[in-house]
Amino acid sequence: MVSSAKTFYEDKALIFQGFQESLEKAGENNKLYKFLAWVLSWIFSTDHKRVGILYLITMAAFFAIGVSLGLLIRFELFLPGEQFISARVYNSVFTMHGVIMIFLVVIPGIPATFGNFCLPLQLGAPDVSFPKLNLSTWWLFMIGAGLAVLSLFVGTNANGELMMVAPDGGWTFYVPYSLESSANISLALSGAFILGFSSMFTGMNFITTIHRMRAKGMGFFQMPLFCWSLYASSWIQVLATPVVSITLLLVIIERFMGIGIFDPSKGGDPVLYQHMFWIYSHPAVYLMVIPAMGVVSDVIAVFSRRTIFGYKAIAISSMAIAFVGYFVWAHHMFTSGMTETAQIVFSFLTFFVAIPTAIKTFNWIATLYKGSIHLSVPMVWALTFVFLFSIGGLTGLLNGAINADIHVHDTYYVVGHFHYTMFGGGMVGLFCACHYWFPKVTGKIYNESVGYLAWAFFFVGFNTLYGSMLVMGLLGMPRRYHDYLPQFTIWHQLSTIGAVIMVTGLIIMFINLLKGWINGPKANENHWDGRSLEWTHSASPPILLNFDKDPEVQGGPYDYDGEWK
Amino acid sequence: MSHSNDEVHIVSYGTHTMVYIGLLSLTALTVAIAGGNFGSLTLLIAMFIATCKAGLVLSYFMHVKFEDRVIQMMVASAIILLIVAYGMSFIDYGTR
Amino acid sequence: MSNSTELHIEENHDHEHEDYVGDKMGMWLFLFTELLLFGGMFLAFLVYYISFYTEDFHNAGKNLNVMMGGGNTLILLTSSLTMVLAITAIQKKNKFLSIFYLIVTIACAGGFMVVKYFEWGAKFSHGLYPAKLTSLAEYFGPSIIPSLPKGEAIFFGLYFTMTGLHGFHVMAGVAVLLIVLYKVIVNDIDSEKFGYMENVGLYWHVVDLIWIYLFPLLYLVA
Repeated sequence: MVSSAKTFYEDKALIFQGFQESLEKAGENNKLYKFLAWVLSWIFSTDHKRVGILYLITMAAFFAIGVSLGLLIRFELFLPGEQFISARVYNSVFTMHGVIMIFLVVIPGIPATFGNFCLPLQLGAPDVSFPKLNLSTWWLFMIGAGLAVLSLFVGTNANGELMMVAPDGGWTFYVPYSLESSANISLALSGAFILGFSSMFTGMNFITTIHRMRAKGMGFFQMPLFCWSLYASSWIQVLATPVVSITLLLVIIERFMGIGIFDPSKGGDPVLYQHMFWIYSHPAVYLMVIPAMGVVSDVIAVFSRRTIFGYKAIAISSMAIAFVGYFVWAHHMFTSGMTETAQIVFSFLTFFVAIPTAIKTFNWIATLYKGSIHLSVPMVWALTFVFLFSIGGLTGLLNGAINADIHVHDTYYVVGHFHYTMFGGGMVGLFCACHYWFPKVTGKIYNESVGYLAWAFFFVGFNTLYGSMLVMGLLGMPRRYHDYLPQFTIWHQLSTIGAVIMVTGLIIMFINLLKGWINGPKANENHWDGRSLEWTHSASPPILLNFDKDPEVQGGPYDYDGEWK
Repeated sequence: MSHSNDEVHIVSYGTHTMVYIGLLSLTALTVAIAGGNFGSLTLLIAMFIATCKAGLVLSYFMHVKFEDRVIQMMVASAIILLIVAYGMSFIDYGTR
Repeated sequence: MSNSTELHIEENHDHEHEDYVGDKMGMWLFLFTELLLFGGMFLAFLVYYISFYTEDFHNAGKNLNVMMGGGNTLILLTSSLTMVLAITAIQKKNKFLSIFYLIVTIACAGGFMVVKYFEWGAKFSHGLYPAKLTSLAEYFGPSIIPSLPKGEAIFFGLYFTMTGLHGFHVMAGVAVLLIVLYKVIVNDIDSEKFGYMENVGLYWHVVDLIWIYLFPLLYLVA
């Protein structure tokens, strides 16, 4: 490692580099120009590390908006009856909470941020295969996000007058309501359509990078498990996203031209929309959580100082989840009028997803066994992932069984379940990654004690918030209702209190990370004693093209005590 | 660039022209058969011929036949995935 | 896979590293997304055709002009042939032949769109156009689609969407083919460096591939 080399913060790979440089020159005596030059050096940078950080910052902003909307829902539901938002606005709020959290935060999630940042580093490559395409995904993401947010403000009412009507049918945009709603559904859908391209291009880029740019001596089975998880999720991005793109496009076309494809009054079949929607959106659930599993595999091995137990099984189970996950979509539709044969087949297949997931969980536990466990902040988050995701997964089995599902369908039980999987899974994985790769990204370290404190608030709040949802769902509280019967009051209030505690934890975490980034103490070069290439062969923070000379892999990514074969 | 020019398999004008003639005759065949009366088999036959044509285009025009094993496997898995997804959808529609 | 690593060492930290196989792999992955995009539409078509409106689809299909559809099939197949011939020509260092074939390809694409224009025009003038496009009523009279049996209305909905989306891809193809033509003329593509041209060719064949399925489904189901 050459410490005298410039880090990627001081060096740049840009499109429009000449323009940026002349602006920088002009900026020597003009602060505005200087600032503009600095912004350009980020938003036009093809460096995968800068793109990853761009995603991280923008997603943090969207996450904050999503959390605020979620809090608004919880406060509204603190007491029965209307508190401070009307039923109409309430519908828009939960829709936009879903759209922002799903399409702008969890789906791009780990691949777009730490996938971009770490994949080439872990593979020993100077960048991804298509750096310009990589930058363009961020632009597409911003355009798509912009349209989705814009749709909040520019709706027309039934008389065609411009007014604020946000999309209000839930994030799934089920027909026929989404065909008839006067809200500006088309704009939100166009946003989602463009976001789909961003996701597909990221997937294409990662698959090609993994196939073509591994360091010398690194076979597929010498890759860190995070790369394997990205490989599996990239295939989902490439092979599932187009189906939802065409589905959303058909809804837009239907709204503008009235071709009748999904409209039952014109002979269309609304169930077909649900099929086509979930052909993508169920694999997308795994797209959210598989990369988190990859992060956790890496973290658990590093902080147990042991070779990961069952490397191949974990690697292949990622692919298995991606593959089986493609064929279980209709378990979202047990009450929508499918035939019984279809229900039974899809229910049967659904249980198969539990197998590779359990393989991973048991392997993680086996890795901990007799390991020398370091309970640092990233490790605490990783174990939290295992705990919360196990609850999410096991509650999911109940949803996969047809008869049980009919009882809990469209209740708060489902809401609790998918928050345990996506938030307790996908997002906790992202928090884990934030704490794990923090020294790599910034070269500094956050305050660990505050890190534990944030985690404690989060953990207590999270379980209070979503645990009470599971209970009230089983008691019969339907989801998406603006009002509720008095017997549910206690559970809603518990849930809201949990939300406040959890958000306190999130704020502490966010401030802690930000403070660490701005003026934290300098971190060690290999702060956590990792064995994969991003720790052993590149500086923290890395230089522009990652490695000063091309790394060559001996040993494996989890080569502790020569256990690796 | 010194890239893999030597590895690249150049398909001759003749082969391409033969494939083209094959495609044309299959098109003629499918139009001819559509005129006849095969009842419910018509769709199946038409799809079979279309798949033959697609196979020709894929393997020769799109060069899959001469491609790396990795790319061949990718193409195959994408197509199989699509077909299985179709089959899965018809578990519902086929039993209505 | 060692190929890319060797290349990478040779160039030693050239940011825009060249990777012939990698580019092709990326292109194929993009084509998979195209395949599944149309795959979703074909799924909708097959579901309605097989499970809901077999009879209606037969009747509606009779309104389509097999001559125009078949003609367009010939045009697209020919353009696919000239595309691969253009690639073979450039590989065999025959620049002028390659340019000739490329121009034929682009001309075919243009011809396809012209036929499409007349075909859609004929449909529109019979009042067959999506019902919500009320501004067209001025030129063609009111749309008759709402008065058709439901299955026929859906058939025409799918017909316009699928051929429209396909036509859009043809036009995008013309745009990239023009770029290839320019690159060949200025020797940016030659017998040493033709990866870009091959990848555009792959895209063009997918456009053809989709039509191979569209033609029998839409024009011959009658």
